[in-house]
Amino acid sequence: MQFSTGHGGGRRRYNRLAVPSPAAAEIAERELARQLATLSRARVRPEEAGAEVQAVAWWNGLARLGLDLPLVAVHDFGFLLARPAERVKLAAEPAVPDGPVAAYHGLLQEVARSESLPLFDRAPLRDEIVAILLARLLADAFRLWATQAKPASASSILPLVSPHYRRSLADLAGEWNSDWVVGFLDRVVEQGPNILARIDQFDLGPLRLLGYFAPGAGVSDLAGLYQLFSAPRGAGALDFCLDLVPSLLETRRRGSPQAFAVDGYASLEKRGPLDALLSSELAHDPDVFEVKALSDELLFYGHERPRDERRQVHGILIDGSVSMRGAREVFARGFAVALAKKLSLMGSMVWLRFFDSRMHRRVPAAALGGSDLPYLLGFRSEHGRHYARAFDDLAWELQAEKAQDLSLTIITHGQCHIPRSTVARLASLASLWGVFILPPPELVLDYLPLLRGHRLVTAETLARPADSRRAALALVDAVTVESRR
Amino acid sequence: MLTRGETVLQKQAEQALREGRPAEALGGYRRLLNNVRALGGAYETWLAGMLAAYHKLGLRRMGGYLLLALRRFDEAQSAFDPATSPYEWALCAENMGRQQEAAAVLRSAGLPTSAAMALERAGDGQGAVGQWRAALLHERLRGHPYQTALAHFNLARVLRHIGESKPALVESTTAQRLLEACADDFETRGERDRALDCYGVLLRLGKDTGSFENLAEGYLNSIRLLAGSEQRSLVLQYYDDFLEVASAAGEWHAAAMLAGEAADFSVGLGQMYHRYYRQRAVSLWHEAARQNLLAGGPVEVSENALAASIDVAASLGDLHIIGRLYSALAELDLPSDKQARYAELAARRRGSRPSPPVESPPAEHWRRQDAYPEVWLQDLVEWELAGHPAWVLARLVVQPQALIATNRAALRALLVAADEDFSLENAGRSAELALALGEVMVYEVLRPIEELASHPAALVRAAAAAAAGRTPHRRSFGIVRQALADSDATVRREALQSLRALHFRDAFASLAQLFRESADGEARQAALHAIGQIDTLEVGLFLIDVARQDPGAAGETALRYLRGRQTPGLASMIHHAAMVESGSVRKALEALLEG
Repeated sequence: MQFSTGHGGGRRRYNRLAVPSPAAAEIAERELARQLATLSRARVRPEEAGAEVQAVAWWNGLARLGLDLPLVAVHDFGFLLARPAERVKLAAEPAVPDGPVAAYHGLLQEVARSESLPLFDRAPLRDEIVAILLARLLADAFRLWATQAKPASASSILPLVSPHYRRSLADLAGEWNSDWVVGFLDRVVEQGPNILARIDQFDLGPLRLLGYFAPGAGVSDLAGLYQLFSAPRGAGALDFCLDLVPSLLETRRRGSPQAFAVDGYASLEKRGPLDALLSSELAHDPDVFEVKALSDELLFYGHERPRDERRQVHGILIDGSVSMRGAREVFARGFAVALAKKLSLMGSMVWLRFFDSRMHRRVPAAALGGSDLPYLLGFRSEHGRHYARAFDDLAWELQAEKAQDLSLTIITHGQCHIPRSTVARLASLASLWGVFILPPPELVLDYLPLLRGHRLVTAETLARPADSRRAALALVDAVTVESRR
Repeated sequence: MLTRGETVLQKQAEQALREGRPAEALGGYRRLLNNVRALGGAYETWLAGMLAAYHKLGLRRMGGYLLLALRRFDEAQSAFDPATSPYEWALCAENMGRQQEAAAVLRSAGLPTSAAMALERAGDGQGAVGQWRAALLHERLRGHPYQTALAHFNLARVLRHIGESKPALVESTTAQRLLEACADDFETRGERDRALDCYGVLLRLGKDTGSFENLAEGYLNSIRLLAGSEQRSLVLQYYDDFLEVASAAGEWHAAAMLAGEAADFSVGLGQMYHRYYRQRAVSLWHEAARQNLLAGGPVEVSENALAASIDVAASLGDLHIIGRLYSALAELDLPSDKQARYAELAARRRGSRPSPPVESPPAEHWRRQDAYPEVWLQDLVEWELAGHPAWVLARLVVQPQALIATNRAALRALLVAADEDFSLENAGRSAELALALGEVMVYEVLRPIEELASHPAALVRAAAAAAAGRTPHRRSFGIVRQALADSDATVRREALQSLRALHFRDAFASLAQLFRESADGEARQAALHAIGQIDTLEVGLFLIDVARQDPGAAGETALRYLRGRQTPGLASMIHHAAMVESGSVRKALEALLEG
């Protein structure tokens, strides 16, 4: 628990994870040495150079998630997850005779022999993913250890460059007593069956979704990605989105207009009135003509150099308040991400943002698949709702931006009472759409007439499997078609 | 049993009364009534004597206050002029069943919400609706959004009660908007308790209207605000109650997630109920999956729910139930490769040892009776009475309190506040009133004490600071903080004394905050002294941190309070803190374990 003042400026901070008096770098070095000393108890012995540094990299990832485990456990479990060769090696070792390390060694061997781990060998696991998998495996043991016997760690991040890496384990173990890890290793052994059960559970679904949005994009939001793996809300929204995305990928990309200088005319365009249609286009077969027309591939004469066509902007506002807790937030987030994908493919500039008592940061749809997808699927509000303020702020913001060709879709619940005057201001700045999830039998919101349209997602809609998917896609279509008018 | 001194004093007072010296008798009875715990009818005897003395002195109004305490309301009412003592007159009328008359007088006295409440208590729904509407138009409410929200809430409540559902919905919506805004504003200003009140009303609104969204908003924000405080039992109670609400509403997803959060909260505090909540989460996720299938919902929803159930079961180490859950997964209408995988995983768990026994829920004695205060009425009364000491105290005298001593202490203070000679300009009498308010020791007197805490005279401010120290409520810290910053040394001294005395269980968070933020060494020591009196693991951990990080007087004080402390779990925390320390700090921590 932290007892920080939040005031700074000379006030003492009482933080169980940091001792303020020595310099921070010195603290980190000491802690590194203390943690490295625990490797004298390691049962996995990789031969690769820099194995300790690799383990510390994973340790830092875990520390960012609030799990400052003994390095020895991070090291042993990490290498079993990430290095198939280490698994084979350890699995082949004979059992250790009864003694203090036998149970721990035995557990590691069971992990090494798990039939589920080879699922991860298809591609190298990034350090963030290993950290997350380790967190999933060892969080229960950490939780028990933390409430009973855990000593405070001195530093939250360990250096990856240090003279301590060149020291021998014997030297480090002689300087730092590592008896303190015994309690944690005992908890790990107690949790052995749970650990093995969790390995069976590991779900690679989130990695699939990331691939839809930005192949190869790095993930920097570790905590968000951990949430995605662990929190039921993330998994639910994720699955919903995965269900929709393949259909959305059928959306044809909307190309941007190209301009060419031609006699008597300023340009050739991909849009224009019928009387400006390039005559050669009429020579195509009817089928081809139709396809080209639908694909915005027909050419028209342009009589003057056109301005660069403004791309339509679409904002998706997702109610992130706790009022959405449960099935509402699962549908809302999955639908929002799917809608963003569709609109992006159609050529719109799309951003998403949560609201509760504030409008939270804008997430460009182009950024999805990197750090922002976990944020979107796992967002957790730390405020109550205050719709009047949030939407009033938005109206001022949009007014200052002088936004044009803007559409907004508000995804919320049936008690989202935004003041009518605020909605009227927004309606003068953008086309407004509403999606209300699991509303009361009679939806009474005085601003509904100010919306271009709205849809209700009822329990019946959600209950029917095919209809649920169809309803979601229909919603997406309704919003996107209307927003193009 | 009277003391010898009381017996003598009583006899003297009676004699003075008989001999036509009522003023002297009054002085004697005033001293006797200081003993608010007197038994065996003695107190009532003294009241009767004092009443006689007031009558002989022609002080009818003062006699009226005694008659209130004696619950002789018809006689009391005749002692009060409705023009000059409207609240007292109305109190009498209400207690005689004449609420309509009470409402009329309160309305004329510019107390519109009290008038509305009186009509409600009279069972006059239509009248109450009219009065609440009138209250909303009253100038008093202008510029008071929280009170306006409460008035709209109450109007909606009464409209619903008389079957006017559509107008009730309009008023509920207005109340909701205002409450959201007020909660956000209060929280932004750091007034956490006020924000909690708003969410409490929103929660009640959700219950009254059947709106799960408002219930979620009320419960979950209350939990969020309380989670960082010492009110752990209240958080657990809120979790429990919202779990029941969500389950009853068929909001299985929400209920299952909530059970998981309750479990995490319990573990974080070293509580033993985390297994109970995890078991609930397992069954709630399972129920979510089952209900989804019954409703014909998407199979992926059930798959996710069962996977979530397995996740929680893994935390419990319940491999038997994991096997059964994988079997359930294998039976879903999923692609064949998934079905095969789930069947294989189910087979692996076959033969696992049986599930551990079902855990017991939190014991009933954890539940607090005052978990859901009806602030939508209480706060309006407080605001409307505006700290008027005689009105606040008269109300306390008339309402039965948990302790008779509270009613009597309120009467004692009332006799000071209502005295013919009393004036707020008189510093001595005002200080006497402040001290008397401090003896009442209930939440309601804090408002009048707060008013006195800003008195121009230091004597009065010092007395108010002392009174705050005797009223065990977090709100008292506001008065103490103000007094600690006073320009007068006497006021600051009283504030320090009060700080040392405020060591009730819920006080830890306020004390710790004051300790962290204060630059005054004496105040920090006083706060630490109070913290040291509270016996919880969180306090123990706090003291360890202070001992480790403050080499001066605060560290010494923390070590002193750690010495001999028997809080379960604390010894191992001290041991491990010692292991990562060095030098004198390590020695000092190790010495604690040797004791």
